[in-house]
This record gives sequence, C-alpha cells and structure tokens, in this order.
Amino acid sequence: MSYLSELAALTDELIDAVAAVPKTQKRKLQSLRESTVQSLLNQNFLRTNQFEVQNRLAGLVERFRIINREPLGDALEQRLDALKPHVNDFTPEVLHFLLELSDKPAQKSRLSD
Amino acid sequence: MLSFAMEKSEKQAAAQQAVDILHEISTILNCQLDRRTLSICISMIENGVKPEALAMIGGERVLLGSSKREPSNEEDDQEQMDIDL
Repeated sequence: MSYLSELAALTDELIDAVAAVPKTQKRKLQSLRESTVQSLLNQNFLRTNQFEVQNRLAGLVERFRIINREPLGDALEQRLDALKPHVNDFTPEVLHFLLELSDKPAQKSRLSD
Repeated sequence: MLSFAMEKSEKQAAAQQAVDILHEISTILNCQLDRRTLSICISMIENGVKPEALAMIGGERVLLGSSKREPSNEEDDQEQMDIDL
C-alpha cells in the first residue's frame, strides 16, 4: 500500500471514529476527508524534540504537586515509568501529540476518570 | 512456525499494553481521546504524520474529542453544505 493510500485509509478510520458527520452525508464526509488528508500532507513542522517533551511532562508532574494534586502527579509519573519498556522511535512523537491535545489538565483532570 | 506465532502474539500484547498506558496518560492530560481514536492517531504518527498537524486537525476542526455522532435521517441530496471544519 502506498503512503498516500495508507494515510487516506487511516484518515477514513479517524473520521469514522470521531467526526460528528453522519454516514449518510457522503459528500460532506468526502470533503472532510480530502481537506484532512491535504492538511496532514502540508506539514511544515520540525521534528519532535524528545528532551523538550520529557521536560514538559516533568514540568507537568511538578505542577500537579505544587497545586496540591499529588495523586495526579504520581499517577502520571507511574504511567511514564511503565511506558519505559515500551519506548520506540515514535514514543516522543505520540507523547508530543498528547501534550498538544491536552486541555488544562491541572484544572480539569480527575483521577477517577 | 509455532515460535514465530508466539513471538507475534507477544509483540501484539506488548503493543496493546503500550496503547493502554498511553491511553491512561491521555486521560490524565485530559485529551478526551477514546482508545480507538488514540490507536488510529498512533498509527498515523508511525506513518510519518507530524504530531502538531494531527493535533491541529483536532483543535481546529473539532474532529478529535467529539466522539458524539449526531443522529440524522438526512440523505445526500438534503445535506447541508456548511461543513463543520
């Protein structure tokens, strides 16, 4: 499978999983798929700096502790330790992605989730 | 042959475990990603998609994190042209 077709297939899966567009609206889905693939292809981003990712995560653990949310900081630290045996070339990128998507974790995250 | 199959299943189990841990991290970071979406995103990143580009799609287009699917009986010809980008 070529790179483009693989990317298109994954984009389809992603849209199917999360887009708030009903399956009956095929034209809308097609348009969404095309624009999404286009945005993914037009990327002018630098390679992820794994040390910056590590620092951001360490900073977050520290921040949880400072604002008296130690259990959350401990939980994050434990998961990061547990991830160590599974680290591969793409782990910093995936963690970078999660950091980019994170939404005020210090205020909104709940350990019960 | 058997050892090859065992090795494959061990690798799958390890990958599954890694996704589980990453999903727990995503929950702690309040990313609002379900496990399936996260798996797809990981595959995309492994295929060379940049994390920022993927996150931008989530942020700008309200694609990621909105796992609600609107129920609709609309057919193709009745569809609205305003795409929720």
